[in-house]
Amino acid sequence: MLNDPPSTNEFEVSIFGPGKGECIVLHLGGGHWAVIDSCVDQQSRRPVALAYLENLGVNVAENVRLIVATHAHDDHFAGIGSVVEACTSAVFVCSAAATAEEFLALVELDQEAIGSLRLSAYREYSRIFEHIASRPRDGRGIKAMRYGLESRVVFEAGSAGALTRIRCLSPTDEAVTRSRKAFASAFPVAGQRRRAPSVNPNELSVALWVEAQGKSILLGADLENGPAGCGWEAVLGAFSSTDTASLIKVPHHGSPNAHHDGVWTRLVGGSPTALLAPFRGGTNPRPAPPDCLRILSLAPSSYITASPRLPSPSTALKRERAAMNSLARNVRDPWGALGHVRARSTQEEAAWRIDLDGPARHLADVVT
Amino acid sequence: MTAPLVALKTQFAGRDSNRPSVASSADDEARTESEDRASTVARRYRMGLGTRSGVTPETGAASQRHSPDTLRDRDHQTSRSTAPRPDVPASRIVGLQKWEGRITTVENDVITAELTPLDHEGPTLLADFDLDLLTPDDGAVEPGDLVYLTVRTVRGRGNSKSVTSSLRLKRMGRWSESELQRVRDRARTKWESIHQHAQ
Repeated sequence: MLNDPPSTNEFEVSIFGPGKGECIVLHLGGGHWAVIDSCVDQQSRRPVALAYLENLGVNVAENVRLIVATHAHDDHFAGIGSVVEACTSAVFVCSAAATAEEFLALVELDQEAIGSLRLSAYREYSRIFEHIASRPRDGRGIKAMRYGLESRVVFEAGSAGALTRIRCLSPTDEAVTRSRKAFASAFPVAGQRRRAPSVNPNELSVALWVEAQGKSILLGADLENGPAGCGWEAVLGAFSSTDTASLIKVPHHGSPNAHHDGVWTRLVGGSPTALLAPFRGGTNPRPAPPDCLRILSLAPSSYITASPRLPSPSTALKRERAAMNSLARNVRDPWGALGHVRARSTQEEAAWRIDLDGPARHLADVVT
Repeated sequence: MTAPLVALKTQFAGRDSNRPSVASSADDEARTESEDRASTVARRYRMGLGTRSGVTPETGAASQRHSPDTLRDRDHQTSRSTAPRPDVPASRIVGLQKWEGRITTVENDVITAELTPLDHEGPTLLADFDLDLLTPDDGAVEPGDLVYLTVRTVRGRGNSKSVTSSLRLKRMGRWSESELQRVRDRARTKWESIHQHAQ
């Protein structure tokens, strides 16, 4: 693990990812940190954000100022409950749709249906909400939680010329309404078979515009292109900036349904640095080779936390495969080892300095 | 001594009564023949006759004679030592492993489930299964359904081993209106609590 802390005036964007899971840690300058999403190191079983920050000697209880859960997919919020509980000075932000009564009903339904917390997909949200409810307001009367909604500034510090600001680009009101309808539709009626709810609309994702140390970056979460009134088309209709982003966290693991040309021509500057984490949990690993070529054509300086291909099976995996007999096919561990791409830059520097750890590599190295 | 012999007789009697009229395999024939010999030994011992070789069931000591009677005696010894012990079942489970999981996708008659070992240390994994392995009482299998994967190792006669596996849905029953109302009420309470702490 990279363990040299940033200097006070360095803007850092660290992205962590095993094969399934994504977490971003930001140093905004002046010892202030933010955590965007969460994943768990499969070896240590700890949330990677906490492990990284504690390894740097950061007092997470005091210096982490913001935690954002961009959406409710479990590859983006594993372990986030522990992060919220540890970072007691941080404001927690989640999509406005995730605080709607319809979503909370699914969270309660999940616990009622599953019982065992281990299998509960929404257990992290349940844990966070209980923690938030028990936390007193800070001395300035600031509440512990903020709704993520388009155009909302969820963090601001400093003054003109040395401003740090984090603004939500999504979800739109339309996306929140659609999400609430989807949640309501997923709520069962009496007589239906009990099962864990499984509704995870990406349109409620919180994409972020971050300004710090004189630079702007775009964190795309898993936001997709539509449907109408939602996604990147809606973002481009509502948001503009005099500055373009010099770094982008590629949305939705490079999937084509999250690619919008307008993002790259209007929000992202020329020769940007692109960061992303792969997704191996589905039937189509992302980014696929065409996705990699597309991203590299737009950002030759692109880095990924791990290969989208499944790693060589570990001894433990081979043992489980043999034990599972022939009934189970394609037994796989999509998570694998943790990779880390770290980008740092100061106000005086034009480019980002990149450091890689674990299986992280330049995106061109994963294209076959 | 009576009780074990009674149990032995009962077990063999049970087997006799259940024995098929025609042996279905060479193993069945050998088992039938052994049972007959063991039954003969037990009957002679109960009658106080012992065995022709002077061997008692307890000692298993062998005779030294080599007459045709001795050969029969040796048969008894052999049958006594190879007769199925009543305390050992014909086949037994020697290994059992379980995983529990949640179905994440159902696509093209293939289920993908995320599985975690229940009874041993091991990683959480993804695995694919044929959809027709699961037969819910009604309705379709959907993401969010919980499953158990069980793998049994069975050791049979002659030290043979076989492995069987099964995948089944966790039966969680059906939602009642009162349960759902309870969920709605808790969601409302949580919503009110959250919105006191959010802006």
